[in-house]
Amino acid sequence: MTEFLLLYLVFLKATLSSFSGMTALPILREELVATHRLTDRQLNTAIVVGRLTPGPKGGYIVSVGQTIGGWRGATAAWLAMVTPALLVLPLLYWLGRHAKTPAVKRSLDAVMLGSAGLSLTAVLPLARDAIDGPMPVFLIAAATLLFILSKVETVWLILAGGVLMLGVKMLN
Amino acid sequence: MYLGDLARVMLRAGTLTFGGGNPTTAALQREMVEERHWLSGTEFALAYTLSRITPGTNLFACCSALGYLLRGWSGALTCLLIASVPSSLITALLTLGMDRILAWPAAVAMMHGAIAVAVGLSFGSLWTLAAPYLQQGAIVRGVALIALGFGLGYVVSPIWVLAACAAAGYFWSQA
Repeated sequence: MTEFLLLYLVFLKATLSSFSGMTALPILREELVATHRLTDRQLNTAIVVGRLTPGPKGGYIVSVGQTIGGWRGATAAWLAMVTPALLVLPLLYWLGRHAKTPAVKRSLDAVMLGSAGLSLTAVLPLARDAIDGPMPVFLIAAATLLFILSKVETVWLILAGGVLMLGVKMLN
Repeated sequence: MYLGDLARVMLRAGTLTFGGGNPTTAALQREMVEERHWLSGTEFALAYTLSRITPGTNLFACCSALGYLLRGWSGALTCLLIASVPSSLITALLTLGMDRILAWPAAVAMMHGAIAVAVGLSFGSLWTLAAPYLQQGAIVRGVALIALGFGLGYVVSPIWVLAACAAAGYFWSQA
């Protein structure tokens, strides 16, 4: 139980101090890699798992929890990930009353647009990592267009991307 | 709208949408605002914006806020659990087999392709989220705000970027 609580607190510290997917990474590295509870390789594998599964990119901390403490560790990480989410409700309660005021509405619209730009700063490094030839470029472009123009479930796009890349590797 | 309908929408978006929080949020916007008309664009923007300034995983805060707007506390808790439990379970299960998967070259090649697609899904979802706010006769302002978020994102913490965008939106009049 103590181990569960300690893991929960480490993960909670990491999630509470972050405002987007990967920003908890330095804290996890400091708390878990520096104390030899996790290797860098295991942390990188967890990040890959997080990218391959549904849900937020920050979901990799469940993979970190599973690696360190099995199902208990995964549960501690999940709990730490969902606990701060409820903090949004008091904000919603207090600020929601003013949402229809024109100036507040303009602010909300501006944050939606600014968020798109902000998220680009997180996606571009992932794109750089993924591109090592023409095929990933094609896959990125095709997935972008299909997401915008069609209603195909993304699970099928992910599978198709995997199969196409495998086909190219086999042909080479 | 029944809690069961909300749960089904959340389950589909939470377990079948890959590529991170943005594609999932874009899928929810499409479903809740454009197709089912459960929420207005402003209500969705409110939930999304407040989730971005909430510490922790933005997607789960956004799902809780959307659930709260639609069904109060029961909606918030239902959405939070349904958005987080299945995806976390999949993550934990994949972790168990990951070492074996990484030792298999064909699987590594497939992962490479899947990650490239996930990047594309992120780009597509950013467009899907931003597009409704660009089509309101204020393209220059919209592009300027995206550029502001992008530029500041490299130099200051996300919360300050969002605060700057909110202030810019507040003071930059429609006229």
